[in-house]
Amino acid sequence: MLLEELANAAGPSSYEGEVREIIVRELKDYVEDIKVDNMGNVLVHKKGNGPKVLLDAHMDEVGLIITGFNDDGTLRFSTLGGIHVAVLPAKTVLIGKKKLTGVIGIKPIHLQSKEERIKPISISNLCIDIGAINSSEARKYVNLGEYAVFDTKFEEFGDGLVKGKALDDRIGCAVLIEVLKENYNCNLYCSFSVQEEVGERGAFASSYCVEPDIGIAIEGTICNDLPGVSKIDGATAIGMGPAISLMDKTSIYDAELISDIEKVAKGKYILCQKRKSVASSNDAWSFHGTGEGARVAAISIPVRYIHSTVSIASLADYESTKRLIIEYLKTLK
Amino acid sequence: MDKTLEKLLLSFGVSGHEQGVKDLLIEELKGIDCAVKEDKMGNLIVRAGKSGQRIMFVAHMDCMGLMVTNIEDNGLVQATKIGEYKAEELSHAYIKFENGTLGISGECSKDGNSIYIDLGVSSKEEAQKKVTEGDVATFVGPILDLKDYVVSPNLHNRVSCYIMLQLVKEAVNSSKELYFVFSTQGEVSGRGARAAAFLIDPTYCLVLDAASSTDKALGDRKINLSKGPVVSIMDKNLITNKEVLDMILEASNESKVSVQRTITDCETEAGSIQKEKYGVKVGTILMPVRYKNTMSEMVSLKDIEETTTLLTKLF
Repeated sequence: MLLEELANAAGPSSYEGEVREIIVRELKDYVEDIKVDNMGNVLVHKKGNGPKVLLDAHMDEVGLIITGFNDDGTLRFSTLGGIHVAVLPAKTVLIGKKKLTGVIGIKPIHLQSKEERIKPISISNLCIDIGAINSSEARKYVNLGEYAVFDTKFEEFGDGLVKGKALDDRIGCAVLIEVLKENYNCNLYCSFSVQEEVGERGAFASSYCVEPDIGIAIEGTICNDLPGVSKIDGATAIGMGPAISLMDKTSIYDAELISDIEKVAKGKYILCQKRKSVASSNDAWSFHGTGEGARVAAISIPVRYIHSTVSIASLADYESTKRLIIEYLKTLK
Repeated sequence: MDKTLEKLLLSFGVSGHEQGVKDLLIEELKGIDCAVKEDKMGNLIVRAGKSGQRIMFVAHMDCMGLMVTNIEDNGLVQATKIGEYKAEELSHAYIKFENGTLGISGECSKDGNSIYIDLGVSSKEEAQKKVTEGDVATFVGPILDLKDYVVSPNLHNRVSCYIMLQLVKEAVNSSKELYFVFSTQGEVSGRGARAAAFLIDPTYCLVLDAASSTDKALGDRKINLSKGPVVSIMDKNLITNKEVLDMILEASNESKVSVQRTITDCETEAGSIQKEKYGVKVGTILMPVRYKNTMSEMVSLKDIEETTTLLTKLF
């Protein structure tokens, strides 16, 4: 499954190479105009006469970067993108291109003082153990600045669900690849963007290049449909279809676009929902934040436990999102 | 009470949903010798004067408001803030939706980011007949004409839009190439203004916005009403360009309108405008507003008149 290959590939912010290779390989039989820009974004163009539309999915996942070597052979690290430190202890990671195994360690509870037990942990309390006995040995295997990703294998499970790392936003990339296999009247550009997780950096370059009339970000988004969580804090729910954003930290989404997209969903019997939270940011920021700006929308697939070592999404949501985008693009003459 | 100012204060225009106030502005601009167009961000761009040195004036036409994010089972409507304001200072105010529905802003959420709107209904079904997720609302209230002062919700930044309308009328005789941008999404980091600056690529730019006066009961009396427009030397994102500052001070001398200089940690659109294209020389002219970001904002009519007079000297 394409989504499996994409989710398993290593591609934290600014190290998206593995993911880029898969995307370019998948697209070469369907598009002629494909290039990689200075930032590393994959930019695709399917010529058409209608309005200029830019669809965007980001290739990068949240991950780690090696920042130092402890005397005892363990590695110090920092995050690439937002990761809550509580999800890190006792997890396995794969370091660099050679995918060297490391384990994130923390001082065991029975050795912690009373104060340490109640104080929230910080990254400085953690280390990556690669089994080296001292820093000289560690330096033989790992370089400063190498990346690390979570060692999570993609798997289908439950009733039509998938679990894996990086579903945000490999699931968006998979949707976009499939969308590009069809043909449309509109003047379609797609950006598989880099460095979204560290500030939507790649997308600013592709937006500036494309100058879209309409920009749509295809994301994996927060989904906290858990007991005791309010609808707003929950944001979206698994199995309820693509989530259409109203507003977030950096964008107010275009009311007319939202209405058009919902009309398509209704007409084609595609279940969809509204993203109820206004937290967070995405590449849509760059569409209206560069050049002359654009009208923007965001369509997201609900991803439970986003930005952690393993997240969950629904294959039905994936299919519905893909269908909704294809049907919407077809309405643009 | 000037009819145009009153109409501006009553027209609907929350960030991202500015059609109401835009329609009014387009109507007010009819009969004035100028070119009017809209850009991709929905900004209203008015061009007047001749060709030559390009000066851009920009005032955001949107107000702060609320957007519906969830409708509770008991009919209360949870809405998130649009704009940076303290939710507690705008609770128990009257609100009006774009579709005309009226309600009140009730309690605030614990994190202060949303307000529960009471539509006077007792069930989700009844509420859904009136509003849906994504609907936006503005704060409404009486306009008090206190002879030398005006009190109303939404005075900022509608009073700057009012000033800019007067400027367009005066601009016809200018030898410079003047642009007056009524911009969108000013309450949310000035997104419209940035795009307009990119499009126009002006030599100089002046941002017309508002500054909180400090002449309230417990204020330090450094920024006062009726003492002229506020000129910021430095704010959170901008050190005002020296040339623009000198232009403003020269205009102040020429028009005999004194200005109040300030250094603040507030931000305006000027911060993002200065970084556009090859860089833009930008400064700010701020209307002093007492009780800013409340239902009872207050401005001085003298300040409106004097600010307009000062700015015409830049033509």
